Amino acid sequence: MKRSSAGLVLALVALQLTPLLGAITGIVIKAGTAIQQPLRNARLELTGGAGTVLVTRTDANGKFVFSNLAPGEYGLAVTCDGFIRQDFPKKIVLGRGQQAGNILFELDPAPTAAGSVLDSYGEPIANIVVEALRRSYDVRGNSRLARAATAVTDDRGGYRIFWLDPGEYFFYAASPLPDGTEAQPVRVFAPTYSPGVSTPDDAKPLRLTIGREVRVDFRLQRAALWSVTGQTMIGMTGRSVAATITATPPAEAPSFSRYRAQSSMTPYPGLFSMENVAPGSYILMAKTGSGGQEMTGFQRIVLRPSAFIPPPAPPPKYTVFLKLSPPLSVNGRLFIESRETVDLREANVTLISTDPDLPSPRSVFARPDGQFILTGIVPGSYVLEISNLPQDLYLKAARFGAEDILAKPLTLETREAANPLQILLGSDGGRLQVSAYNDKGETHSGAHFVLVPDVKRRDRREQYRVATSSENGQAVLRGIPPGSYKLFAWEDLEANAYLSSDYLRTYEAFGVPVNISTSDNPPVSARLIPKE
Amino acid sequence: MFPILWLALWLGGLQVRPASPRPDAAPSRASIQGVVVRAGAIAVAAPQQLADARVELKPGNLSVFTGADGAFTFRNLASGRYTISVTHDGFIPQEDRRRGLTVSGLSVTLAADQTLKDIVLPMIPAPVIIGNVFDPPGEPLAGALVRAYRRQYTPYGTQLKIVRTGMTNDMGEFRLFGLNFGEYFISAGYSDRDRAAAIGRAQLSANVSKADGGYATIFYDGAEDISRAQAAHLAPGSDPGTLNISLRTSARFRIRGQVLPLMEGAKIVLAPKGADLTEADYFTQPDTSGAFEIGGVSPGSYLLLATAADGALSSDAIAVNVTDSDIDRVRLALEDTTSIPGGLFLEGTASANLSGLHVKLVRSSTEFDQRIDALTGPDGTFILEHVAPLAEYDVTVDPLPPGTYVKSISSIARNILPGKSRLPALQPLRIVLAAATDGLEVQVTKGGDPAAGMQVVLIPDPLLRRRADRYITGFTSDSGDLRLTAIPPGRYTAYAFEQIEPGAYYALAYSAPADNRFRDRAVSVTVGENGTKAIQLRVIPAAETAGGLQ
Repeated sequence: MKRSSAGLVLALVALQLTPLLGAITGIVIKAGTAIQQPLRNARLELTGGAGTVLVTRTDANGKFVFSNLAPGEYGLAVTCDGFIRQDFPKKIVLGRGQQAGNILFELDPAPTAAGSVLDSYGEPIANIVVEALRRSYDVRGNSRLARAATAVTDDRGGYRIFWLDPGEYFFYAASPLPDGTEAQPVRVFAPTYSPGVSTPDDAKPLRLTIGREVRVDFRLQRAALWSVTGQTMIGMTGRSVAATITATPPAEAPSFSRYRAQSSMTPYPGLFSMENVAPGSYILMAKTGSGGQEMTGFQRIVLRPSAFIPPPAPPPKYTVFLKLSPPLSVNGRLFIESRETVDLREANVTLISTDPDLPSPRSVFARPDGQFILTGIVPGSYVLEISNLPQDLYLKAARFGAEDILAKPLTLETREAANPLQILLGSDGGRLQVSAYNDKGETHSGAHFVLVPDVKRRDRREQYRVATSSENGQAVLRGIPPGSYKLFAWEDLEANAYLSSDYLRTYEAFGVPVNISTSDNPPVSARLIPKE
Repeated sequence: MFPILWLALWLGGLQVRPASPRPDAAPSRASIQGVVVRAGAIAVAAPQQLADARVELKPGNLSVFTGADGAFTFRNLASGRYTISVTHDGFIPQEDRRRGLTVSGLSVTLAADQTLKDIVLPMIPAPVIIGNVFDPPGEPLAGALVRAYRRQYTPYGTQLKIVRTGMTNDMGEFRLFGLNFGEYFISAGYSDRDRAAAIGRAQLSANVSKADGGYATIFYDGAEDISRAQAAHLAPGSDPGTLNISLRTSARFRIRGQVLPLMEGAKIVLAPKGADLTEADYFTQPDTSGAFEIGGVSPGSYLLLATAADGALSSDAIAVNVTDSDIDRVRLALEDTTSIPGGLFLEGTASANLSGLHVKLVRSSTEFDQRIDALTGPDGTFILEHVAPLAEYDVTVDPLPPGTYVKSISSIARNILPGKSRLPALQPLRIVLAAATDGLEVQVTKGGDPAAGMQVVLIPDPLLRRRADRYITGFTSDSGDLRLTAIPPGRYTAYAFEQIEPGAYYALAYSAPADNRFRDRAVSVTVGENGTKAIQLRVIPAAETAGGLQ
């Protein structure tokens, strides 16, 4: 009796000690080689539940191990110098004590752009910032250029922007802006887009493909520096006010280069001047006060490049009036069309500035009864965005006073926003299960689905529906306003690109027509639009 | 319409500030003409002339750019002594001491209405330091931090400073350019923190791996510490070749401590000795209890500084020496910083235009630099922000109106002209400038004969050795003499040198051995109303100063 109970205890103890912890192992190799070529020192990042991030590197054989892992779902991503990074397409699900082995990454060599920058005499120019730009889209579907990577020229005028993602790029070269106490460079050159034009509209992109190195050279002209003068005033009253003004290029990152000026009340109230400003596009920001009394004002200015003429020629002048105001608040309420009582506390409300370089207020959650207040809003033009609506509710209509703010953006002036935002939520939204299939007829996880409304409603941003397919290759779109649509599925999608009619035109043939009615609709499948 | 009226009035008043004439100069029609040319190794098809070079004339702050013919002209100049200097990307002036040509420029004397023609300013390609950085297995490392250190002579003493920072490209190559001739120590490092310092204005592609902990910093050629590093020597006609630095996996340590009091948004800077704290790129933040930990620190000397509320609070700069173990319990105590208002005055003139000048507070030690800058307003007033109450500062005015010097700096009747002073909080700073009107004739001989192209330096009284405007220098003409003008009154020690590095003479105020070595040829001078008017100096030959001036 005693022996068998001891045995039972031992068995129970052994059961408790069965390893809970699992492991994930795999290998990283170069893609497209006949004989396997392992990649040493590739960096793997494992993200788990509760925000844990683990990092390891591959050894000389390209192998990596993450051990002592608790059960759960993990995301895995790899970078390797010289190659294009990858995310493991599915979440890795680890059971208790499970060893998930045989993870394979095949990496493609990343393309590079290099070249030299010369002046009008054919001599190299050092310290020029060269940027590789990609087309991106703002909340209204307008295309703009965003920095992918940059480099600075050396004394031979040479630069290398290395290991970019494949794709189409525009290239741009400009003198750096003043940085803190650093002085302006001796010669300032006109910002130029490849091939030697001064506006992005005339720029010609270059296609970078896997493993290729392209050469992009620039010949720059010296530019006349501008004198920006103006006045800072309180928007509501027109009275001058002393403020700090900065001029920053749009979407600046990573440095904090900018021009600064100060306006004071004596001897000329509210007047400021910024000298020796290089030509280009800037966002002027004026700020005054502090703590609760802060007032700000923004304005976008464009200083055109013009040929440098030596002194005593006067500089080209730009005059601007900057209106400052305290941050605005807007209160509002979500109403449900069918008048059901629904708890709306998960609903997220925000206003997004139509100019991506101007600030947008922080989003807020509605109260259960649908009321909300948005604060910290700078006067400007905004589109309304509501997300995380429960059940199948959808944004049906929105008014600010008498204005329909879904037909065109909401403009908030310096006066206090007295009218509340009234937002009507439709309750007859439809539901649709979607999936995508590739050329081989297989379903694809991680596909980006967009349900695009019919041509008459394509300017209504709130009527598009977006989702990403999960591991089983499917996604569910909810709260769809009844009507006719086209379903698209992309392997890779730039944010807001689908709002651009130019962008959609290229892919129109891939769209599957769908008619959505209230509640459930039959599932629809679309052909996957592959990555470039 | 009211705002537009103000704007029109103001715009009418604004103009390009004309070159301020020297206080005692008579208008004149003297001019200087010349050409900037390439010298040294010239590429086969390159033109002789250097186009688009900026030629500057001081005093007066006039500048012009050369055209395709390399020519420049300055007109309508008053008589007097001038320095002509040239700047162009990738070039430095070719020195010729006999002609008075140094890296700082060419000194000329203009008589009234004289036309000085045919000035030739030769420029040679600026030296560069190139090399590669490898990881421990021997592969090229991209995105590694490379730094060049140089011994710098300053009015605050001789300091080993980081003068250039660079980053390796995808092939592991680095190129440090825009350097002057001299000796450099080069270090390479690879870690997230080093990457933040290396990146500068560049933005790397997302495909470039993060460095994480990386490897310890190594100095060329393989030393862990700068004291054992091998210098790279840049001289005309000789370069050190390609410097290869291989990083190693070696022990690194941790620094742990506490920031007090607890403040949201506090930032901590860790910078190596020799860094300029005003340009620090990498910050870490304490956790919610104010504790911080910095890992992966290579052995060496560092400085820790905590700030909060955008500089309104600052701790002292704490020196930390990492040798062979972790450092724990570092205390960074945040103190309120203060604003110092002040006024700039020109003696003897009620309404001088002293606007648009910089009043700078420099906190300088042999370990680090930190600068606070304020611009003077129309009435000469200024406000210096974020001044640390217990820190010691030197106050300078830049640029000084031509022919003036800083006569006195006081704060509540305390004389802080000598520098390295604490500034009482909120007490106005009064800076008085005055015209320097005294001169000195100097005759320099070498072996009994007049010596041309020799550098004469006047080193100020030790009390004022931290003031750059009290060091006076010039070069002798063909007849071995030099007339120095605009000397602030006071006591000086005068020397004549055949060849020293630019600024090396500051060491004479700080180094007892240097003082001893050259004492026999030094001459004491008192400049002022009843002071000395002329002196004779025996030159200190180049052979004696070849290894530097310490």
